[in-house]
Amino acid sequence: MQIPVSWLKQKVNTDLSTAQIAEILTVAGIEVEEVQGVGVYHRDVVVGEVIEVVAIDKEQHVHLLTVNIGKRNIPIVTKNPGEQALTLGAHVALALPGAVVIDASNETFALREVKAGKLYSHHSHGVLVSEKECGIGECNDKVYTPATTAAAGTPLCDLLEPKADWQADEILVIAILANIARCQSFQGVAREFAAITGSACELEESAVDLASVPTSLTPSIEDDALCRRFSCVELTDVNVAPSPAWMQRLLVLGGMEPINNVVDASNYVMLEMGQPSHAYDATKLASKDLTVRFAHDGETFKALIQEEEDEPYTLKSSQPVIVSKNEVVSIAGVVGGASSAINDETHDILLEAANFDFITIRKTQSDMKLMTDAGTRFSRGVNPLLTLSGLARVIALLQETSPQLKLIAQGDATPVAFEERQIELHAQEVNASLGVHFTIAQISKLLNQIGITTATDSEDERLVATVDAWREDITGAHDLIEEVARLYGYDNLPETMPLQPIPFHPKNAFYEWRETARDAMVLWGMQEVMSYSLSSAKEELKVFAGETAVPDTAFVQMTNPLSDERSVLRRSLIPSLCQHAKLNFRHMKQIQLFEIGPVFLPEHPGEAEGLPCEQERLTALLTGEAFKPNLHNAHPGPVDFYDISDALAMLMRHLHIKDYALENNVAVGFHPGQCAHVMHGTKCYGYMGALHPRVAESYGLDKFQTYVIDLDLRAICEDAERDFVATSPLKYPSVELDISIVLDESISAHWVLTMMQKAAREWWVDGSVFDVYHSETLGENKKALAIRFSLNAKSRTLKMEEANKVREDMVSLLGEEFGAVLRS
Amino acid sequence: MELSQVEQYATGAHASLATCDSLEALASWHQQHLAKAGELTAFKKSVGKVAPEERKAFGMGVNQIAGKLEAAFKQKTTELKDAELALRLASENIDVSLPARPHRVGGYHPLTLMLREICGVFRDMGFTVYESPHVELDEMSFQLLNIPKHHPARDMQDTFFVSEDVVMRPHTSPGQIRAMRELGPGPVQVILPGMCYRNEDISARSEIQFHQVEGVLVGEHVRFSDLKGILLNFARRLFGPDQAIKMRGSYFPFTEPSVEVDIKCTLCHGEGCRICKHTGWLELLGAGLMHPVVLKNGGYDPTKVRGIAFGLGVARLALLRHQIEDIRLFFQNDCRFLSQFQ
Repeated sequence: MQIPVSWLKQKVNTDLSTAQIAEILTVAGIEVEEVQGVGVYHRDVVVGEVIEVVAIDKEQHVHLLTVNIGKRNIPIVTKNPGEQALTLGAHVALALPGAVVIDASNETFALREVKAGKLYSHHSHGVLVSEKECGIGECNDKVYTPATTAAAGTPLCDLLEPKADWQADEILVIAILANIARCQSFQGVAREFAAITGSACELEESAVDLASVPTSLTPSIEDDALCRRFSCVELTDVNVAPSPAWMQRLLVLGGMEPINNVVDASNYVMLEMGQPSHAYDATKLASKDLTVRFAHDGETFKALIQEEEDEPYTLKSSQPVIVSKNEVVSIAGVVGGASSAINDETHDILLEAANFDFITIRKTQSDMKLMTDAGTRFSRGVNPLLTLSGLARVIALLQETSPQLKLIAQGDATPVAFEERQIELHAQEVNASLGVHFTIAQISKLLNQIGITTATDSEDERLVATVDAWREDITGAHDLIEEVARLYGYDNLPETMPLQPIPFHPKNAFYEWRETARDAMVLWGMQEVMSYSLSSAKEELKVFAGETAVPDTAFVQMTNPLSDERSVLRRSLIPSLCQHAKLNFRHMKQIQLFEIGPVFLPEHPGEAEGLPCEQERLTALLTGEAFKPNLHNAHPGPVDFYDISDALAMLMRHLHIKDYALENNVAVGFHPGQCAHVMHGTKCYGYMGALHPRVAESYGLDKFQTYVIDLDLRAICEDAERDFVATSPLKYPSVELDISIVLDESISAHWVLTMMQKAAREWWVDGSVFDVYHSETLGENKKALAIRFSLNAKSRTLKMEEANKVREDMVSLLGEEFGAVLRS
Repeated sequence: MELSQVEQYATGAHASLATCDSLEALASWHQQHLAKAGELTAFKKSVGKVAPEERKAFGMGVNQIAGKLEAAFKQKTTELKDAELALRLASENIDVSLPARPHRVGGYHPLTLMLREICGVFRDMGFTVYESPHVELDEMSFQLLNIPKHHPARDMQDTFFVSEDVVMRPHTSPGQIRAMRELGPGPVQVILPGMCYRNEDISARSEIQFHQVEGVLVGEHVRFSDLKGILLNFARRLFGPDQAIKMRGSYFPFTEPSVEVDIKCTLCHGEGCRICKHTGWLELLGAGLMHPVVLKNGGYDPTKVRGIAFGLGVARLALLRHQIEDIRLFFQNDCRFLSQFQ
């Protein structure tokens, strides 16, 4: 919504500056997004000082000037600027690129934005402007040369005393949020501004008296839910002509274009009062008794804004129309038809103003992708009391340029009664809600400011507010409390800390363990990343390269994606980690990344019916060199499985999960020989290992082997143990022994150690493989493992004979279980 | 055996001690002179050959000589050790400015750090973290929050749709309803951190995915002034004790009254600069008293119970704090950018 400040100041008695007005409105929830200067009010219309003059076309009086604008000198091409402006040292009015000035070349009032460009094959970084273009006078045959000593570059408006007859203006650009539909007009904003500042406000405008006009028109509404009011007035002897200059100006400043007196009067009333209306050429209507109804599927309609060669719209039954004897003459509330449009010959007019259901108009606008000023207003809601008074105002304005016009007939369909509402409000409600101590009189006074009348009962500290029918946003006590807060000023309300004790909510254990897991990964040396959950099926499916493909339905798909690249929800964090690895390989060789975030699995049930399972995963990727070559170690090798398995160990240590195991196994997307299932009992936390070379290659990671940990973090955090039993340091020395055995290649170290622990029973402290040896002499598919382990009897010193006995037990158990033999 | 013989010997021994220039030489000198099988021991043993009346004097004399030699030996040992240490120290000088032996260094994503800080401040004020799904029902995301289908307020954000009834949450507000229903009917005091999604063009200032932290406080004694107190406290904890907040009226369907909350510009401290468009203030968050419809949908009687709610963008605070110009850096995941935050 654009409000000319000159209009506002004419209607509301105020001494405030434009900046103050904008601030006051904004704080009260009517956000002034911008103050646009027009003509001299634009900050890029400045005083320039002419410092060089070069004639470039003497016949046509074209000159190239160098003009000082304070910060720098700029070239300006000018034609016929007048003698004064060509004098060295002259002060000239200069509009820089971006400035909006009055377009003096246009017959009707119009604006133009100044742009830098080439004129007569020379660059011009602005234009010299006349009084008229500045909007401060009528003279347009020469450049305005202000008599001033002001420094070059000073905005011109800082030097001049504003005058009431200036065409130049400032425009308040207001964002209309859904709750301030009432501010979709000049008057609406003026009313609010006057209320907030407590200023006097005169909004009464001339309007014709419709009382004596015969009510012989019968506009009708087929569906009350679609239209709450539908009013028509028929006129004759209308003379179509340009509208008056003042109206053209306000239309343009309000963001519309002047067309002719009929259309302009209708549009101006929409700006001024907020009531859209439409004028039909009455002779082109089959019947003057119009009807509002939903369209019939397949009905066609040509809008007046369409070009001749455009296809007419084919309508749907959800779209509201206005028909004359079953011919569609308007899309209700959005746009009028071409067949009944006003032209220069029009003599008889049917004016129509209605109040349509805002949701229907919204849907229609977005359906047809047709946004009009009227449609936008209706889609937010319009005061339902204004249809006839709006038309009366249109006619009064039309009389200025068409004084002979006669009123023939009128009609008004009002299926819905609009009544003022009464709302009871207790001071205690206001005070408890806002944390203040207002009396009912104070509250009443604030409400009265915005036209809400109140009957107060100061004994009970309560009031009954009477709210006008058109304030449809106020339906309950909470709406009144908002008005009280807004008018009192949010900044004037006190600051308190809650009186309410902190409630006992259950602790969010997963949140805390997840942060611990994050700490563990960072501590090990991983860099955390964050990726889009939205991805493309193509990138996601690369994880399955060469394996069983998953059908597309396995992705949660957006119905309105921004691009193919971001059209589905990820099922894995591996693809994005691979992409980040590739990106970072451009400038580094050590890639250690991890991410914690959800993947989306639509085949599993989620939080509610219809929602996918969201599984929080922790995924890490390790590739490239193990560390950065440095003074102390110049030759890093590539990372391998045992680096990433150390990272896993760090994670498990932080979550106090001791008895997890890595089992050689296969998983989709992994190297078949370097893949582990991370097991905890029979529960599988996820997978870990080298990415399948084909998968890695598909992400452009082919220089190094890429290692990945991919875990279901929630499953792990469920087992995380805060209340683990801490042990005291052992009092007696442990016995440390080695054992070296030969066994089948396929037996994993994990099982060997499990058996050894079993044999050692409660004397077991720990054990670890310190050598793996392969040799033909051992036999085919055999390996030798050397393991160092320690034993402790805990309550006494273990005797060497006892330790050796354990070692013998181990050997025989390993022999029984795995056919292992002592290495000789 | 004359004492003079011993004295003569001692003179020689002292002289040869003086010529010892290493601990090895010193050790062999000790071997020769002071050890059990050394020459001095031999002199001590020869006391039997001395005339009985001179034995006492001889013994004392030899012991005296032995004491002197021992002392000289000790002193020489110290001298030589000191010299050796001095030599070693001199040879062990290093250039302390050479690069350190690097460890693998991990780091947090800057948005994680910001999220932790924000959640930390609110947790100190008694808020519990409550999380809810990214993919949400339209009902939770809009309808129960007082935004019916086709309501003008839906224009405030462009939403990704999964189906007619399922959306990518455009804000963390669906968590309000879920938290109230789960933790009610008593008082509720939670923060809802999480990723949100909006179907908007990606630019330096806007992303299709972003984190929000929403706060909800519901109970019989909750007041709008509590909102001001909590947010002022938050602003001061995050941006310094001199911070102030300013409120402007606004509109959100799920709160009434609704306000936009500004803080003093973190760069110019209210003086006015490019970042705050010369206003001295920066938009921090949106907030308000919970709308009665929302309270009702959360399972409360809005005539008895009130709530306050506020929601803020996490990336915005990180941008402000580190003067980052382009929000897209957060999801590009270039380690040269990320590793600054640790």
